[in-house]
Amino acid sequence: MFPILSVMTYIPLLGMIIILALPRNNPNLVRWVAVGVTAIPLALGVYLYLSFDRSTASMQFVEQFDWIKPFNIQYYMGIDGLSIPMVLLTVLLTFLCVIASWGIETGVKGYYAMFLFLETGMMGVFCALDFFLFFVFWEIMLLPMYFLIGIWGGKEKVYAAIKFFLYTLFGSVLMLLVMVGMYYYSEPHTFNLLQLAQGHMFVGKTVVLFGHQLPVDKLFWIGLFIGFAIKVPVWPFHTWLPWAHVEAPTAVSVILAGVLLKMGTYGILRMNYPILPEATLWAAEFMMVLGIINILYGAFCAMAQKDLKKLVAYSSVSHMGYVMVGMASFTTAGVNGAVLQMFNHGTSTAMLFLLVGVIYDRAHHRWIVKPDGSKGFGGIAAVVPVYTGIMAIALFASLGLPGLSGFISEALVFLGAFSNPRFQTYVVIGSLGILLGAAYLLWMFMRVFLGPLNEEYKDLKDMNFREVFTLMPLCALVIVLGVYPMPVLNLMGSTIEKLLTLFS
Amino acid sequence: MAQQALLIALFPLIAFVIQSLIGKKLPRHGDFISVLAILGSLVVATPIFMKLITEGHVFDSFQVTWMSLRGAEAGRLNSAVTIVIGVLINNLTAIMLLMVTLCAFLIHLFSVGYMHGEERYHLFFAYISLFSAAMLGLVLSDNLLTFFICWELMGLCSYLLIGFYYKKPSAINASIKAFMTTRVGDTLFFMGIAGLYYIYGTSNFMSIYKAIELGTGHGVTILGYPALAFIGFMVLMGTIGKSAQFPLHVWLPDAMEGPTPVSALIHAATMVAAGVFLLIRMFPLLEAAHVVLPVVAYVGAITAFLAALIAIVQVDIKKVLAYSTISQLGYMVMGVGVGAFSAGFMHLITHACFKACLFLCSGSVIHSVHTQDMREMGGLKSKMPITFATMFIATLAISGVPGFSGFVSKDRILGGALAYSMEHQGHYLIPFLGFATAGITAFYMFRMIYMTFFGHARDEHKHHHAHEQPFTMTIPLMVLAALSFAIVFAGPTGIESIDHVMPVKWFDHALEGVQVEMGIAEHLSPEAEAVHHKAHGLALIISLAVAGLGIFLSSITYLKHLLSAEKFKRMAGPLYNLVWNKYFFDEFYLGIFIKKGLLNFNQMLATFDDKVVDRIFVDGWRDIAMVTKNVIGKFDDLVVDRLMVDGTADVMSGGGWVLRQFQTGKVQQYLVLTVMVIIVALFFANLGLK
Repeated sequence: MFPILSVMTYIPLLGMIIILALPRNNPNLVRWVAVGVTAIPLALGVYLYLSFDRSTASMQFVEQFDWIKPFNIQYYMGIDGLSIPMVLLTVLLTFLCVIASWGIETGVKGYYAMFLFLETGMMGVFCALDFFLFFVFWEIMLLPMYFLIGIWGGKEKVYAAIKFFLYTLFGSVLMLLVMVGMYYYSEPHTFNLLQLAQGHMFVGKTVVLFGHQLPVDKLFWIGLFIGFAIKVPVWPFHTWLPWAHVEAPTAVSVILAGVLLKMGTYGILRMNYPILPEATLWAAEFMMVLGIINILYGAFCAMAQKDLKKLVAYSSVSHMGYVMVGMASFTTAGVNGAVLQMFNHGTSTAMLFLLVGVIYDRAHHRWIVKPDGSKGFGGIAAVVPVYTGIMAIALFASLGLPGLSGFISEALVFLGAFSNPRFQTYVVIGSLGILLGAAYLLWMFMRVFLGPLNEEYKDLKDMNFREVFTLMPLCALVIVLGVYPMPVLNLMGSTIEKLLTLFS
Repeated sequence: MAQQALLIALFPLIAFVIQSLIGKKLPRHGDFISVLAILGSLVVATPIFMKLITEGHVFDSFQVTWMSLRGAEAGRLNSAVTIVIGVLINNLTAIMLLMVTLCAFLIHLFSVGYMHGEERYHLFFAYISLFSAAMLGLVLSDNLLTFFICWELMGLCSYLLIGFYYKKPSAINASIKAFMTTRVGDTLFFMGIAGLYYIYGTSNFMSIYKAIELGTGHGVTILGYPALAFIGFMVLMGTIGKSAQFPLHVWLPDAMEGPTPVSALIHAATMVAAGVFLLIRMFPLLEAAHVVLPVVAYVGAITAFLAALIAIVQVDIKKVLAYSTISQLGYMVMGVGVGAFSAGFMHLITHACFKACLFLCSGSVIHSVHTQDMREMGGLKSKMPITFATMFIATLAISGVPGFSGFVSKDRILGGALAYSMEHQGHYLIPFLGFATAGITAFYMFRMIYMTFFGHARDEHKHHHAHEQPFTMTIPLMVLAALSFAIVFAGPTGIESIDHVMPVKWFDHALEGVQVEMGIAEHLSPEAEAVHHKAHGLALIISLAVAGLGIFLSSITYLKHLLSAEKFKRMAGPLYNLVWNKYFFDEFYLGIFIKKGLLNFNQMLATFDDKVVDRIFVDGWRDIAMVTKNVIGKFDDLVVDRLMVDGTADVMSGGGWVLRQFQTGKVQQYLVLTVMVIIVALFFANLGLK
């Protein structure tokens, strides 16, 4: 069988090598090669979408063989309904980001090489079904991200990059410990995620730490959860995110918010849920509370931001809270809504970051209100109508306006969580987030786009063809999935159904 | 029929897509597309209405599955979820469809003249087309989910159209205020929908009626409240937001920043009435929840009264109409609350026609004299005869003069309110506020007419340039004025005892059919019948008296100037101040709640996030690491190096080099070291276990 997942994963790696071999003095060649290389996984992604069997919950496009025999480590790739939306999001966003990065002028070769390497890492994370392999990809992804922020970032890039790196590394350490622990506590010893998920392996086992006898499964759960929570990011592990977003170049922010954050929630659904269902139920309320905190805390902080990009960054904190709430509800609507929200947030936030990048390229700042209290922009709708229109779509999608994609996922999350009597109070509190979301976005829109034109920007140029091109596919997705979400919901239905039987 | 009816909403939607994409490039900026689309809707809606008239009853529906999520067996958290949406055509729908398409068509037509030459002309039509599609979609919805979707889309259009003059700070402030205020209600409304899915697994109206009739859902609680009461209150919150009821009414007067046709269409005839329509659709649930309806009645009565008081002191012609709209919506809500739900619905329809007429007339005046301040008008009667005549008719209707539509519906609501309090031997405040409002309404409406059209011209220049509008603008006025006569809905006078038998019965028949469908057909006992009869007779006399009194006072003050309004103003003193400042709601919400409260809280939290969570809890680890490094470094230098290494020179120096690498490196290395140590320890621990 054609190893389609491996091909999708390693084509960018191959592309990276090609790019490194290209001459330094021809940046356009490098850019076009990058476009060509990322187009291949995108095309294969379309094939995956078309040929994916929606009726089964089992793994598809599986590749499995022994890798490190003595430790029973396998090279095991495959996708199910949880991974395929993320895979599609990854290939699409990477492709668009490569185009959106045209404006990078320094170190073009290195930039694109790192970008392609990043895609390999991301694809691997979403396809790996062996914990060891997963961990390898997880760490691989960290490296190019570190350099992309640290080299091509803004003023405080090094600080932001190190912060990002350390945070994630801290999570990785815990994940590593759990991985090793799971290996030793499983019978037979294995890293295979599907085997680990069979038969409630860790229930009732204990370990003695510092003189206390502690249940293994809960320890594993906490370790994994913190590791993933940092990525989501769940409050209070979120502070790397505003820094990384603000300092990262536009395309990297898009990937960061569009794909990397989802790895956290994906990881929780891929590992914590099926491998440690008892511990997951034990921690349900905890996850729900964190989700609600994320929604509200992110929204309140977003409203106070003066930097456009930081506002969007905090809005991600808020929106990932919905994913947590949906996941923790253990209802069909809630979990489907959560995974759909992962996808929808990927598209709408990507739009917002791309749009922030557009204005930054022109005005060289992103202040809604300048630090000295004077107006950053104001009334630019009069000079950039196309930009304003697309921004309005992104914004309304993000604030959950019906007819656009964000509404469907938020509605499913709330309908689901509300149908679990345990969580009704939380849902009502969390619904405040809907209100706050509209408040900070519309307030931003008002201050930047509406009102009398700030004369400083009367010559602002509207979007060019390349920029519109990167946004159109996302725009289309946001509208289509807002009207009819089944194309994505169908992909994940069977997998989530099976996942949820563990908790009934 | 139901499938074809979908076209009614589809036409304007298509017009929206065309207009927003290529409208600017089309001849006339594509205004004809929007007008033709809504005309198409009217053409499709008319036969449905005619069927209602000829057969007395229409019913049809169809459903499609929108979302189906796979799940386990029913009745559990992980059970399958199917969201079915569809179209419901019944008597209510038929009447609403005709009213909305007709008003919308006339207002579209009016806009062609009114908005002529405006910047973004094509977008104006795009937005009102989208609005029409959403409103019609809402009317057609057979379930609360698509109802809510359309509800929100209307909110979007309202936002876009209030802020249509986007360079004007007051307009954009008003638009965001409208969106956010209504969204407070919307969010809670959505919780109500979530509650419905929780107890019934559906939000289909017919299924809800059936479930209510069977008595399911009783005994279930949400947040400790009976589920039905919870849902009922959440639905009411939606209405309070959308229909601008106290205390969320603050957005509607500001919404007058939008172009006047928008005020007529969205903020008078259709969108704001959608909240009342929601109450009517959900009436069986509200009734079954018991505790909700009295609250509905009080909200309506208080809104009607307080808003009417504000309307007296307004000098902006559109603001008078805005407060009058709030007040009249209060009537409708009150009508539903006291159980006179068909009267409430009738008032929704009659109000839509005469209020749209009033707004368009005010638009005609504004278009002509270029001011909204009534103090700069006066004496326009002869200059704009058609506008005057139509506006006067509509004013008679809203003031409750017999022979006009508003009289019929308002009288029924007031009769219902009086019957309600007589039956319950209490709640007398509700009819009292209702009657008081009726008088005040007549007063301020005639005040408006007198100030605008009568007397001498207070601004000669503006008066001089005033002129009547072209026929595209006057025809809508005339049609809407014609619909303000009582004969359309009941009889020539609208007073049952004078007309003897109501010669026009279509409305009552239609509503009887609706009540049967909802399972709330009234079977009054003979005693209750007698009480109702008595109440309605009494209400008729009182409402005629107060309306007459209002018109009389208004006439002697503003027409004959026998009484001085200034004197009253001084006499009222603090009360006037309170009303003039709209009871300080804006100051409270914006000044205290948002500016002092919310924004400061945001700032505090953001600072906390940056300075505490990030700098202390996160970067703090770095400092700890640095301190540790220094301590270990010193230890290494003083103890290990001097005492031990120097002592056992060669053997340890290699180890010292390794150690120093770890101590002088960056923080990452410490972490990597930690990882390695833990892994090694685990491996050893495991060996030990075996």
